[in-house]
Amino acid sequence: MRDELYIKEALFSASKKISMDSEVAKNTLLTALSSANMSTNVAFTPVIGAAVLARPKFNGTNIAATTAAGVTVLAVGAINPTINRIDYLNDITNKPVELVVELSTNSGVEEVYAQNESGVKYYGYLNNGDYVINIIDNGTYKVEVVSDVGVKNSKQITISNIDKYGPTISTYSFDGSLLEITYTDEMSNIDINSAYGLVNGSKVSPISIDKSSNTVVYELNEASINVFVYDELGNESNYFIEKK
Amino acid sequence: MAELNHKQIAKLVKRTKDGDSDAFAKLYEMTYQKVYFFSLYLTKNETLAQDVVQETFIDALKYLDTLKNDKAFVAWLNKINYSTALRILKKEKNISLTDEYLYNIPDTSESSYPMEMIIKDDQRNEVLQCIATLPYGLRAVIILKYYHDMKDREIALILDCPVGTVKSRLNTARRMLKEQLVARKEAVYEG
Repeated sequence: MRDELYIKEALFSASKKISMDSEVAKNTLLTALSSANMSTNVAFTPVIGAAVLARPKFNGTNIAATTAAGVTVLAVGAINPTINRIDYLNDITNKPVELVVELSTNSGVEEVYAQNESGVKYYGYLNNGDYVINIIDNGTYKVEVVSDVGVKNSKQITISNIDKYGPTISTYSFDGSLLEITYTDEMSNIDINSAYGLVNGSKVSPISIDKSSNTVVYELNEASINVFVYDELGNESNYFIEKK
Repeated sequence: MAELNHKQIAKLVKRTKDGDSDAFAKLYEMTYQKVYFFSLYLTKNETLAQDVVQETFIDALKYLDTLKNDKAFVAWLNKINYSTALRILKKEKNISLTDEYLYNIPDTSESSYPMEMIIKDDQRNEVLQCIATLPYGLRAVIILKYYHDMKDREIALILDCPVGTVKSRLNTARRMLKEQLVARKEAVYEG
């Protein structure tokens, strides 16, 4: 009992010292009224300290049957957020694609996520009134909003503009000391001018570059070479080639 | 300000349901500091607490028509307040608020202004410091019980759990508080 009194005193003592900023309090009220399309021309006196409100006395009977628990479930259940639209950039990128999900309402939203075909969920966060989800891999996603009471609404999207891979070698061949490499890239243009090699740790440049076919030729007098090239997004290609 | 009774609240709720924004302003005026205090103790962050207050009152006004018993407005508001705080915490901290997390994991995160100021301002008040480190769910139970002065069965309705669970959580919270306080005193003596 004594412990309980300490707890009570501590909380009430703290509540007297803590007050919500009066401007914030006023704005919160106006926002709530505005969201319900009610008049915002109200008399409002910010109060200092939280201890001004006494809990209503329920006379101790019949609370379970009449209090708000069940009602709240109904109330929250009445919220059924749906997805209005999903915006994202279609440009080829090697960075995550940002999905901007606009919901019919942000009230009563438990979570918003995009789920890939393997079941992995990418969760969204609220930013400027919309939910933002970062997608890091191409694929088909179910974008889903879940309400407080578990009602789900979803839309399906397919992301195919993420390119995280550098160019690949389609063919290479030796002609004496000359090594000819032709690159290909399924999604992005190759920055063929970025091609270079490393031989025994020293950087070497191709002796010729054919932009039209993405082909480079190195003169190689050593046993092996690491060849590098980048696509226009900056994705690196790195192959180790040994002389046969 | 005089204490409210359920009849006064019921009248204001009814007037609000009839579209009287002044009545809602009055309800708000009488309750927002308590909602803020609860929100602040749950989130330990001023900005998050303000967000919780705003979302709580928006939802309260939006769904007020579904409140069948106008006298139960405060209990209903507390329930919205609690679930809103958890929802915002979950999003903000990107955590899964399982029962394990809510009731067993101590919250060691630091309190931001103004809670930090209150706690640091009054070093004697070790009870407050200990409450702030309780797991979220136990912190909520303690505040509902000892600050909102609610009965166990009312808390059970807010937390959506059996009364027995509320009692056991209260016991756990009190035991944890006691252990922390004893440990602090021992540390002082040893120091």
